[in-house]
Amino acid sequence: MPTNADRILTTHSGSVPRTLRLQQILLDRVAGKEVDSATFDDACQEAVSEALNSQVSAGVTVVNDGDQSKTGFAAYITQRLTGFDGPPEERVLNLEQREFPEWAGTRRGRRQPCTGPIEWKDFSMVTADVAHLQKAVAGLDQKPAGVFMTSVSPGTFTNHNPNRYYKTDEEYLTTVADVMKREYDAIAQAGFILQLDSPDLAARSNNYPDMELADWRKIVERNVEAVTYATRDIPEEQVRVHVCWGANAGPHNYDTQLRDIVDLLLRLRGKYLTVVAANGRHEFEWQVWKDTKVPDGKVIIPGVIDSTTTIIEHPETVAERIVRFANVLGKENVIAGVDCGFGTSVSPTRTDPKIVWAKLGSLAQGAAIATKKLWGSN
Amino acid sequence: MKTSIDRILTTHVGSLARPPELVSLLEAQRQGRVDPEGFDEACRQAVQKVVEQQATAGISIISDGEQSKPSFSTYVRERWSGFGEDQLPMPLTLDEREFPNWGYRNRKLAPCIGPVTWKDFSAVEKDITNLSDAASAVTHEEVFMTSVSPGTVANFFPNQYYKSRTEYLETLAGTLSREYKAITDAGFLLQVDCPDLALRNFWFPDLSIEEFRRVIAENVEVMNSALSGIPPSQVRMHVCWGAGETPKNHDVPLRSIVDILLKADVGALSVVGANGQHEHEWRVWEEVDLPDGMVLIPGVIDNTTNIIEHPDWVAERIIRYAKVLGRTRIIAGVDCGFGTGSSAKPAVDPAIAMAKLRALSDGAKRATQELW
Repeated sequence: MPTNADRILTTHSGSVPRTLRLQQILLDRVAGKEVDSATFDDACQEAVSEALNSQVSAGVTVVNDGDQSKTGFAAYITQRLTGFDGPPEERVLNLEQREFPEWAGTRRGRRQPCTGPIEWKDFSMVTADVAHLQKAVAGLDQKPAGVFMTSVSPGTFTNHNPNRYYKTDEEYLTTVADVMKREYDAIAQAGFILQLDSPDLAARSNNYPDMELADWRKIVERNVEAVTYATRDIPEEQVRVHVCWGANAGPHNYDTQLRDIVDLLLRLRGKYLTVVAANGRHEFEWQVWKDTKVPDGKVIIPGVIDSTTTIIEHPETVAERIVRFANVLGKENVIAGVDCGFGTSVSPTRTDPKIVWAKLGSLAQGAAIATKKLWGSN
Repeated sequence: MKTSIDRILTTHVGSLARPPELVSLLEAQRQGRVDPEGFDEACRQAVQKVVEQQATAGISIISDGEQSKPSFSTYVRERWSGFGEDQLPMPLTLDEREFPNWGYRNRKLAPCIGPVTWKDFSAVEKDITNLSDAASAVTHEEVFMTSVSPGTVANFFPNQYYKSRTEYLETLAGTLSREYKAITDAGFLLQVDCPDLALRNFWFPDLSIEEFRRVIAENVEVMNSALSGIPPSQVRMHVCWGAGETPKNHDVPLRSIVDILLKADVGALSVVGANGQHEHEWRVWEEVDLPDGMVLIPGVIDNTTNIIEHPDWVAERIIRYAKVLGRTRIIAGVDCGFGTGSSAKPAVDPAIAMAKLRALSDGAKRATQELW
């Protein structure tokens, strides 16, 4: 099994396009159509195996199920838990939508508020995800360097599902952490690395556009503590946190700078931290790590592939991005990743999956070039 | 040509989104049912507006945004005789072959079916007047106007009339030289748009790189003949692999064509440097030097995405080039145009494109601080 002691490992942010069959089933389920559970289970297993095999063929070494069974990286939770029976609410406009109204158009995001007690109503969806990924991994010829599974972070959960039931936001966040702990623990107990999807730790413009940075940092701090609390029974080596400013190809010109939050991010429990570093709004932020003290044993997973564009990065571009980080952080402390997910929600339109695999192939080739530059002989 | 003597100058690739009214008029013009006076007035106003916008964004070397043109290349059809209707299918690009589910352009090309001659040179003169008038009202360093290369016309309008490709190219060069000369006589910089020099994937997907090199060597030679009599210092050349957000997985590496590009009789080479398929190619200049009298205009802004580059990142890109080639030999640019064709909805929202140009000039300022 390859390790980061002898090469640059590669991974991605979690979601990849669903298979056409599963995509249709998920859209049917969202539309309220009855789907036979055996059919759903079969389509999920097929999709997970395909997603895993495609990652391995592309040369990715730390792999997952591609979030195949989920309607959205955060939205999936309302199918698993009680408390979301009310009507959806319209999201407030983010700062970019306000500055560029013609780009924003008339489409408005929606959020499903929490209007009742949160409890598990269908934990079998978690056990099914775990079983599908375990079965797919067992079918591989070679054991991958790592296997991860995503789950939504407590803070993102509360952003996407605003509290309309609990007395205080603190009580709500603690309840969410307590309930989600069961999913987190199940993923870790299966031997997977738990990835907590945490745009809440960076995406101020989407969630709190009218809040000053200092006030918003207090929310981020609270959310970081919720991660610590909810993962307390999981070894740090099995926790990674994905931080981003949203998966979209929007202007991003109000993104909080990494420099303004990096101290809080480094307080996160977990060995691995992913950060956006490939798109033009954030690529310069590799410089942040030059004067940031990183705790021993922390591994940074910079995005060296931009998930928002069809343009396939050249492996030399990828290698250059990796080497830049390795020179600052130490080559053993860097895993090459992707800015964000390729399929953060199931959508009637989707990227050509072959382009995603080609981009991941470029990631792997770039990592091989970087490995040669950094280790010499490999 | 002004160069970055005491600070990094900024520019872009030429085309900018057109206002919706003008887009409709361009479509009407194509169908031969436009009121010429209304069209001219709409062009004049649109040029004025984009020139103001560029100045507001802090761009030093500005253009008319190609407002009057239906596209950076096919505009010659409105100005020349000799072309038929759109009817010839294009070959599938290598990207389309590799990614069949990604989408086809299904574009039809109009062949050249008769002698190529000017039928409406006044279109060039109007463009020049509009840009002169608009530029005189704003602060800027210099003005450029785009024109298409003979090789690009030959790609978009396949020859069915002339005996050989060479004869066709030479005719195109002779015809274009009048436009080139008018632009430089007006005191503008001429930018010749030359995707033909890199776009094997679109136009010659089945040629080897060696065979493609022979094609573009001839294209450069013919372009040079069209430029004869014009000082190279008044000409810049834009080379790219297509403006769109395509996979670009089969782009010819810059390294494989750079020697031919440098044979062009031009004072500046504009080339893609921001998108992920080409970002690493700044290193080509560690091995290849620019000839004396030529500066580089690398793309430090990606024209295919609404993500607005951070000015610090723009600065870092500029500095990378400046450290290799010398700060006075770099002008900061954009990968390709923001409105290369009028018929498609601009890939980048027009207001966002202007914010990207602002990021470009802010980044150039930061680079200047570091470099001077």
